[in-house]
Amino acid sequence: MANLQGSIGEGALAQRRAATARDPMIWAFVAALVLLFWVPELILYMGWAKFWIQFATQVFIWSLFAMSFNLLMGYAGMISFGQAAYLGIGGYTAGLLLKNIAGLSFYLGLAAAPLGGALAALIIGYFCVRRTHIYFAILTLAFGHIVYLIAFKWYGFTGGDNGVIGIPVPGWITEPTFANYYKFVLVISVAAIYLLWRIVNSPFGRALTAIRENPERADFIGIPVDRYRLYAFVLVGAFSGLAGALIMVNDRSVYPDLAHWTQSTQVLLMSLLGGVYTFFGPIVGAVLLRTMDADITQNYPEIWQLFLGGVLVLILFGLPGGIVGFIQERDIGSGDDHATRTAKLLRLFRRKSWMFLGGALLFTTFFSILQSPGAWLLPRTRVFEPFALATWGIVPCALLQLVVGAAALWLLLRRVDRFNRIDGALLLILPIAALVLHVYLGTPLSGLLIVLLWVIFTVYSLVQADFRRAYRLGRPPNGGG
Amino acid sequence: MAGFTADVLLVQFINGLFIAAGIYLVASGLSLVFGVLGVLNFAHGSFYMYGAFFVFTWIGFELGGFWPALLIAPLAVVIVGVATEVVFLRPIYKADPLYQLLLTYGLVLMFGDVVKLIWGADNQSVARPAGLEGTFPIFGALFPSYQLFVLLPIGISTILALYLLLNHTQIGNVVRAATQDREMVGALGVNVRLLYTGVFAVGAFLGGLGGAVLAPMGALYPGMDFDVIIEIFLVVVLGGLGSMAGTALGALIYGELKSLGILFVPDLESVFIYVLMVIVLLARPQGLLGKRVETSR
Repeated sequence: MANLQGSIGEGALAQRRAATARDPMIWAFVAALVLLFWVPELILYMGWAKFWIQFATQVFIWSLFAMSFNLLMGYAGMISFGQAAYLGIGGYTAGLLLKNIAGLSFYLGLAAAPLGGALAALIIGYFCVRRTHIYFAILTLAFGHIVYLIAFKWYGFTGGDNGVIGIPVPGWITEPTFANYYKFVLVISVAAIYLLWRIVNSPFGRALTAIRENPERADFIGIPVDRYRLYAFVLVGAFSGLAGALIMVNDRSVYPDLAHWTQSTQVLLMSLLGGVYTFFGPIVGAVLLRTMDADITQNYPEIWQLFLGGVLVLILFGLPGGIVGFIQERDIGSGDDHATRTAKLLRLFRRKSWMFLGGALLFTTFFSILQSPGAWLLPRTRVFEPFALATWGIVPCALLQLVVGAAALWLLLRRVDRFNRIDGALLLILPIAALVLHVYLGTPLSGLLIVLLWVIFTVYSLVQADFRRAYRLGRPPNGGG
Repeated sequence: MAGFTADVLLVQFINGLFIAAGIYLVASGLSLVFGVLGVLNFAHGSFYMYGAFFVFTWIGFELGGFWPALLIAPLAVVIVGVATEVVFLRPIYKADPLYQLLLTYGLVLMFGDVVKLIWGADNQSVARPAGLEGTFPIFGALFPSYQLFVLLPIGISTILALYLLLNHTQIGNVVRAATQDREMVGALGVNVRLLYTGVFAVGAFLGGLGGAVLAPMGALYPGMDFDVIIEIFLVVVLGGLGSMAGTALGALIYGELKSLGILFVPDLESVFIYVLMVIVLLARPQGLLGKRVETSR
């Protein structure tokens, strides 16, 4: 609310304008753009599969989709269960225009996609934003389904389940390494994500958060609640349409599946997994989910939804703030004295470290069960060699990790309030060792990502200023601190 | 277009009643659970699907064929439902309703793949019970016997049974009180946990019964859960979430629109219900018979 009141006062508004005009985040975006621009060259130079260029392209498109969705879910508190509809509408708008109007400029066709998405969102949103929460969820789901049905059944216009195929795209996109298209998508996504960043930090974005927190109060202080919610819905529809068109160009075809509810599920899960109340969380969610998709859908398509549902339930019970929210979670505005805050902080760190150990074990064991089902005690095919961990069965391997990992973590965390540099280094070595072990074991990429997040969490905690202060303050007064 | 005789309209009207009875069976459970627990259960469609597949499995056992399955399949669904409630829903009744919604959504995904793992991804079918495969003439028009002698009576008796249970028994009093004010019911000494589990079990039973009764009328396939959940959402939004009479009215309107609409605009009959829903939402946001909500939340 403090922010909101600040944005209403005239002087504060001018100050905010001046601040956003010199938004330092733009340099972070430019730096990310410049760094990521050369990823295809790196992949080709290292001789990795071209698949990874396509994979990275998809990650960026989905990041854009998930972050725009999170504007709706995280900032405005409107959970849409039918967001794939606008993905589909964007894809079909651009696809049908390019296919049916000969000589239409590619860029013009692409530019029509966000307009199509916004228009559809305006019409559907007009009815949906009148109701909140559960009704909003039902309505978006129902309208999303009807968009899918139209795409699926209207053979004369959309081609039904045959889709629209052979959509003409410029020659530079079809270049065999996909590097050009990667760069094209990268520039568009980063620009769009920067735009989203500006939107959520504008007075409009603050007003959306105020509406999420307390609609009546927002109404009383003069925010046009329904109209702002509609604006947000239309904006997100436009971004989703753009993402849909980018997917369409990637495949050079568009099928009703693009508007199917499973896509809505995925974007919902990306937001939740990364962290609903964080801006960059959905990127982490998109990277993780795309990687898991590559790991699981390719080899075990029959359990993909089971896995998605399981992850969703696990997040809701164990990780309500998502991964980024989990890493960033701190007890800041409380009125506790230093000693209490220190104790709380350290307790939180201990608990989270254990959760990461548990999460890493859970995921990697899950994948090892998938990779060699039935090999509970000994692998079926290879000969058992006591010194090659990869030939161990699932249960002994998991038990070994559990015992060694838990013992190491327990020893380190015991000392966490008498912390020095060596302890910090040891604390960091544990997840890094786990990472190395799993590279050696051949754990799929998505299992590795969980362990990698553990490393990131530990680094983040150790460099955090109030955490370091907590160590010093945590020493008993007679301990020479 | 104006060439329809009264006969055709009557036939389509009765066909509409069949659709309404089927959708009511499924939707009533969802509405009841929402009214008491305040949880919009996405997984209700899964209960419907499990009801249908349990009938399929039971018939495979050859222990008395279809008729016992009408009771056994819903009871098996009750077991699934109670386990779901105790394990997943109980810990989060105090959480944001949207978290409950997301949780049941996650359950839909899991239940859906479990069906694929157990019964395979192909379509299955259940034969109509002996003697009811054919049609039955009324006033010279032919109606499918199964719908006429099984679906419609079960639908109507469910409406009656729910009405009597809710309005003329002590349990019904408690349940209705809980739809008005859950905290107060708890404060008056009612075991709210047990009440919730019981109501959830009844909801799961109704969903399973809907699946079991509708099983012989169409293909069973993974994904039927999602198709039906959209339909029952439309019905309960139309009638008013949590209102049992509203659900019956919504189901009736849904069935008639679908079956009469096909006479006038074939292909687009499913759009009618959306148009009507939009009109209802503009005029009466709480649904036809729904309670007026005080706040916008």
